[in-house]
Amino acid sequence: MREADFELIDRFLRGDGTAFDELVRKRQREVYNLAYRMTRNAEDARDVSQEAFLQVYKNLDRFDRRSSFSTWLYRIVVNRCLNHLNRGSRSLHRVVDEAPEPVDPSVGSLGQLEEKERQDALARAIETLPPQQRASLTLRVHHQMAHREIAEILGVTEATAKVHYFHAVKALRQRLAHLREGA
Amino acid sequence: MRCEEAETRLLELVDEELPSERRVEALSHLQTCTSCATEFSAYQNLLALVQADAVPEPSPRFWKEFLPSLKHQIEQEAFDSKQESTGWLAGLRSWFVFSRPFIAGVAVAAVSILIVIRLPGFLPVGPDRHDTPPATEQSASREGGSGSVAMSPNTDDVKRRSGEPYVLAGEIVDDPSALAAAIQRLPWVNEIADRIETAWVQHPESDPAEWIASLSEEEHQILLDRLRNFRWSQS
Repeated sequence: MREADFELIDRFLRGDGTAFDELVRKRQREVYNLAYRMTRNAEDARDVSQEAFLQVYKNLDRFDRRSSFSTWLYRIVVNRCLNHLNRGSRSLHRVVDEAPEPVDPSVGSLGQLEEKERQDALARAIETLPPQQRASLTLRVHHQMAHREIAEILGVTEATAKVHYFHAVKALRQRLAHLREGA
Repeated sequence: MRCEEAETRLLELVDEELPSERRVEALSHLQTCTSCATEFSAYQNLLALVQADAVPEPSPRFWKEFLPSLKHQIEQEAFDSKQESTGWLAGLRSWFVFSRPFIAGVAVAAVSILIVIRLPGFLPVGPDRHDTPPATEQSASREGGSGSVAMSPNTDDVKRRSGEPYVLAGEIVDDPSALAAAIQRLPWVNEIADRIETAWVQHPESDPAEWIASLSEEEHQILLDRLRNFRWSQS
């Protein structure tokens, strides 16, 4: 993956514009997902993703390759998200152009309601997390990153990154205590 | 391992960050302590819930438009930055687009310097100034306010450029302020000012003589003609 990224970057820097297109197509989903989990809003996630790729486009020649491309890319995305959150983002949830959620026929309507309630409670709880904790949690749980990489992305020490993560988990547990039995 | 210690290790255990020796100890404690085991299970369930928190899938149209929209933004940025760069140059240029009186002042200052330093071959003030026409040739006095001020003691401009002095209203121009006053009132001054301004912008450290020298023969002739027809009453 790392070498494949570098190859695309080399092609782009040699003037092959299609290499950037490939890079975007390859990474757009994970970037959007990270942005969505950080902002909890589809429009914000789209804006942040596009801004991040725009920043990548403008600064790719400055990428020193001391870290992996994904670490560099995630750092850009997370910083964009943090700026976005500090500016005040849109309200929670699915505002734009999303495919309808598939209905699982094996789950009864009561089960669906409970599941929906759990999801909403989790979303609300995650929204209350400070942005750095939210980033640590997302990068750890959904992107399976090591605390060392998360630290690099957040620009903090590894110990601090761990603390952010553990605080996030503890805070969620506390806020979702009422769901414990059902979870 | 006691419960207090186990509690602090539970998250690391769930996170699989505990060193192997500690991990064995913690797992062993969980087998004997229901309370800690319940706690451990709660963390596991919580992380499973977080993990299952799916991002709503955008529509196919969203992804279809994602890259084209990004490329449009990139093009727009490139265009904007080009405009900004042009705008910066325009701004720089506009900074030098001074008001007429100011430009006239610059022109006069340049001419005055030339007169003072007596550049050879340009606006010369020759040593034989007594050969110039007498003051009676003045068509009007400056104080008169409506007379003409002619800088044309001799009609041969080429000759004037190559050695003979300028004369203002029949007098030798040895007072730069008189010439300055005349040039400040010339309506065409923006034309020469443009040239001077360009030369100045390009070579701000250059000799003012070079700015004046940037005028062509024809422009120089126009300058003389305008000065010849100049009247103090004009604005």
